[in-house]
Amino acid sequence: MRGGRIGAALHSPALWAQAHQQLALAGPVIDLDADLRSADPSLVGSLDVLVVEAVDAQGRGIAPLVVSLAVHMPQLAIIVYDQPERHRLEALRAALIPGIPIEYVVAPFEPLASTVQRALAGRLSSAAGHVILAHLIPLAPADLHTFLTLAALKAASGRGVAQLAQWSNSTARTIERRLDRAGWSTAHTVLQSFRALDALWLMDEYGMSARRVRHRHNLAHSSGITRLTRRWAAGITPHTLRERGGFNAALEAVMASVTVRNA
Amino acid sequence: MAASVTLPAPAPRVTGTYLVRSPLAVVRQQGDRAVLIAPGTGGAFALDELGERLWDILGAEPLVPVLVERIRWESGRAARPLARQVLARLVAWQEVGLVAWR
Repeated sequence: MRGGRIGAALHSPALWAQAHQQLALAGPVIDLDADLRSADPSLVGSLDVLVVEAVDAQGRGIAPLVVSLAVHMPQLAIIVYDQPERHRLEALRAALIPGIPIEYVVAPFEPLASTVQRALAGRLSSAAGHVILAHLIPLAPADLHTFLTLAALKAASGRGVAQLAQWSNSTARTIERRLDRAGWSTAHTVLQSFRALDALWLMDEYGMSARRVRHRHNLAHSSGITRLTRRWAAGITPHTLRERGGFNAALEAVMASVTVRNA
Repeated sequence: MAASVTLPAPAPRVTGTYLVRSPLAVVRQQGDRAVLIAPGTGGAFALDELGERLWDILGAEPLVPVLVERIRWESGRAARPLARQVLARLVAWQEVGLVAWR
């Protein structure tokens, strides 16, 4: 793993222990006061990566911290390592600003070290999930917020509905019932549509090549990107994205298809 | 015998999530431009098109992601430079008490 200065501001003992165990090979982890407002600014300023929880010990969300760091320390990569509980995800969503690279690692299920490694290599990017959630959550029933948050943020990883439902402390069948009650598409359609949007976002916003997007999405061939977006983003492909109205057009089409159940 | 019912515990209230405008802030028209004046500190910001739109949307007490996304959607601008520009304004306004976290 490439070296770099990693800081952790974790106040929950379990998260602190898991993070330290997982990052043992990454080098020394600098423990910061969980209330970063009282941390030494020069120490925070010297970091390459900061691992934080979505909510601090006083019950405050991290959005103010993320906004401040994005302005004053734009080079600092922020990783949120926290459990997928409803109020923690609510605080997380308030910090997932489109265009600001910040990554969520689902504790204790996902490995933290590989995300830290990508952050040290300067490869964190703002995902389409940030944009999707800003549009979708205001429309969604509250009992779907946790699943939809995980689906929007983890779609690119290729994880399935059953796993995301389990992380949501639910089952695939319950998620399907909730989606059906809301008149929305199936969980598979939701997940694949988010995945297609993420691929188009990376190409449109970051100018990533199909090859790089393929790696990010764990697809075997670059042609898989075209098939994915054609099938799940209203027929839009990387080649037709511009002429069809860009990412916004794809987003609009996916939002319409996700929130209406086809007969 | 009455059935035992376990109610789900209410989720803890998370603060520091929404941005709100100071009710004491004043927008004055000076010639052909609007100026945003901070309460007490005398800090003043000339509002360009982006600033006016930001201040307008802040009236709805949005999440910051929703604020940035609405402007990205309307303007068609790339998210990364836009977000940096919006957040810099918000931090400057927060420092003089024009906006606060709730």
